[in-house]
Amino acid sequence: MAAPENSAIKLNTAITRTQNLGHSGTGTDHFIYQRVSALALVPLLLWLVASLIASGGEYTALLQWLQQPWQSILLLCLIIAISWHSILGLQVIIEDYIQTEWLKLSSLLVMKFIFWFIVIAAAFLVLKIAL
Amino acid sequence: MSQLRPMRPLSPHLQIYHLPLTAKFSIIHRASGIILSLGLPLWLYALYCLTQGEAVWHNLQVYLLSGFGVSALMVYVFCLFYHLCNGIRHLFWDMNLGLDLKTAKYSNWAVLLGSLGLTLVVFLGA
Repeated sequence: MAAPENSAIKLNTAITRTQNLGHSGTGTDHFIYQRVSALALVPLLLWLVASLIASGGEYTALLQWLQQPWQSILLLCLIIAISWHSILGLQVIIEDYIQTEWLKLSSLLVMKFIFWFIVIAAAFLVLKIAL
Repeated sequence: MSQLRPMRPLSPHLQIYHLPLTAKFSIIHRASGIILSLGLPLWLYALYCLTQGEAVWHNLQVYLLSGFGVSALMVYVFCLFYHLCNGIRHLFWDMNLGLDLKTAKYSNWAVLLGSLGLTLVVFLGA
């Protein structure tokens, strides 16, 4: 990815540019999505905790809870928001602490595969209970 | 390649640097985030057990209500509320609110008391 030529401050030297180092020109969207998903998670998590306590963890109570359409819709929203938030957060942690390039990239891949699997599997199970 | 890099000043080494409370809270935010993320596969497993009938769910329930299960749940719920409370503080910081040292020191305690209080409420309520 080439650095924008018209950027006001050039932090890169000529050699770091040819080595493809320095800023990528992207990343603001990552910052914003992290916060947007956080905002959505505040009410959703309070709702989840309250609902779980209300059910008492009992089998029939949990099923009855999830068979109400709006409740399962909210749980689907929560699943997407929390997984998205986790993916973004873990991505930062992996990028911060893993220096070796191939290990960093493969960790990111594995992490994203696992979490997208969780999103799809959890959504399927919620629908299975609800429908 | 390293010879081409100019000499840069070193920041104080972590071992001898006295971390302020706000810095410790920042590290705990990240640590609790990791724990919460690693717990997501277990949530998926719980959802799976719920679809497999009452007997399977009952087995999970017995395990969760054991001594280890309850203590693990307590740690997890504390991580959840800590991350929630400190995350809300981060959202205010992002809006440039409460960034001065005095307010940040007070909000440290608000985050700690808030997350401990909410954890207590959950375990007294459940």
